[in-house]
Amino acid sequence: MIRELTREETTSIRREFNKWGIFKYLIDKVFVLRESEDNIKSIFLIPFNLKKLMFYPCSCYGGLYIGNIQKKKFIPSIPFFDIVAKHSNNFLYVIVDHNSEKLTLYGRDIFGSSILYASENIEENSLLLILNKSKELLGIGRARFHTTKIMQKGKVTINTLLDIGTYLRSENLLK
Amino acid sequence: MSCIILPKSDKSQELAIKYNFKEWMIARYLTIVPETEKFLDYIHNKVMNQYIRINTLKIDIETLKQKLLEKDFRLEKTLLPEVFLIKEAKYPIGATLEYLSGYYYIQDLSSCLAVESLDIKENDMVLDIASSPGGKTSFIAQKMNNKGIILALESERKRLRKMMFNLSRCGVINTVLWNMKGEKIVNYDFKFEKVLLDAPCSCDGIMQKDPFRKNTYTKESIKFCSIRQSQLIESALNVIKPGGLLVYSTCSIAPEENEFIIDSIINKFDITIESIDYGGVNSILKFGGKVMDKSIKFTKRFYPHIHNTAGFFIAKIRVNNIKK
Repeated sequence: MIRELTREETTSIRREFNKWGIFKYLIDKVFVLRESEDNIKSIFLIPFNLKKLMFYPCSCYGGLYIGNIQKKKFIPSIPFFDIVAKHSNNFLYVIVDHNSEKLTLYGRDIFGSSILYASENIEENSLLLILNKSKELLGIGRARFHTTKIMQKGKVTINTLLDIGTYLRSENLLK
Repeated sequence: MSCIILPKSDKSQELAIKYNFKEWMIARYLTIVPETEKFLDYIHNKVMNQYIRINTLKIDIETLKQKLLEKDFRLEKTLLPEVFLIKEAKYPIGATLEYLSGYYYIQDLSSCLAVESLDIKENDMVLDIASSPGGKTSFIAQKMNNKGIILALESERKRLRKMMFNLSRCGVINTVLWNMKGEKIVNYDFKFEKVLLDAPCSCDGIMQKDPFRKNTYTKESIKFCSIRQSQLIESALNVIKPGGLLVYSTCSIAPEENEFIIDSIINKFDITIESIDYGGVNSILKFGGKVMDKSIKFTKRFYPHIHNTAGFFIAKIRVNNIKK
């Protein structure tokens, strides 16, 4: 079933867009929510002119899949972070070497020695984007260390939470 | 529409044994396909060509070409500027960073030509019938620069989720996916500028990719598909605005699923068959004693051994008015 979002749900998502510096991307667009039989709430971002078509009973999906809502919290998807990587200047990130680029695409964690650059303000547990040398999105990670220690050798310093191959490997995330 | 059976011959028997086909299929191919033996030899011995279509919603053509060249890909130009033939690839083309990032889509040139024939404009309202897995849908979105509206229909619910991921990977935002049979669209009060009907078919045009189809291909499957295709094309024509365009395509070689379908609507609707500007050979005007309307010559057939594509059929149909 597709429905409009509650005010609370909308606020939670807008806050996330604001936090990642992509609030402007919402101009002329609107969110819709798809609730599956097993209560998975998926969020889609659509242009205004698509809205009417989304609410027919046979409508299943539309626009861009930007994440899920779990326990009232918005969990962004890879297409969300793709927007961040392309349209924002305000996010934490690391740049990894070529070898780590390949491993990240299979969901592997990041070793400190493979990080070529890290944003200045990374804290322990910070959520950050994992980019390659061309600043293309590879995945999303959680830092285990502060910026000053994130490039240390011999240790995994970032846990990969989601990578751009995730959805192709596992098609069961969204029902 | 029943499958037409042609008389067998010594030649059909010889080729059926040589290439392990059912003889009735060979007897038909000898009448339909130019240079039939070369065709059989080609699909029997050669691996199907792989093409990529660069997704300009996410990257420009030159930048991606450069990235792939740096990864030792060898690309060859095709009729379309955004589509390239893969001559050599050191990595599986479905597992690269560029693929996962949605920079390109693996798609046969013939499928891209069907979309090209739709003359898409940015703000069109487009209907894509039987749309999964979404390759043509994402190419339409690309042509529209993510503007306008695409309504994509797919009757198999489980295929929709994969399609949604495909479209999101390609950055498509202007598409709504409905779980619905194409025939039912007439129950809604919509009119479209463009309709793409890549009809469900018996698929003998892609036997090279899936040799198992040699065994599953039956006379009944041709009959079943052609009945469904007739229903779908009539529904499609009823939801097009006057002046709008329908592109009908299949990956079937059977005239019952191609020329016969187009011939059957010529006298029922006020339509004009327009010529296809991108390669192919003219379709057949006579088969199994049936003579078709002359305008069928404007539809095109594509063959693996001649065009390096899947076996494919494309018809471009302009709607002048509603039902006669």
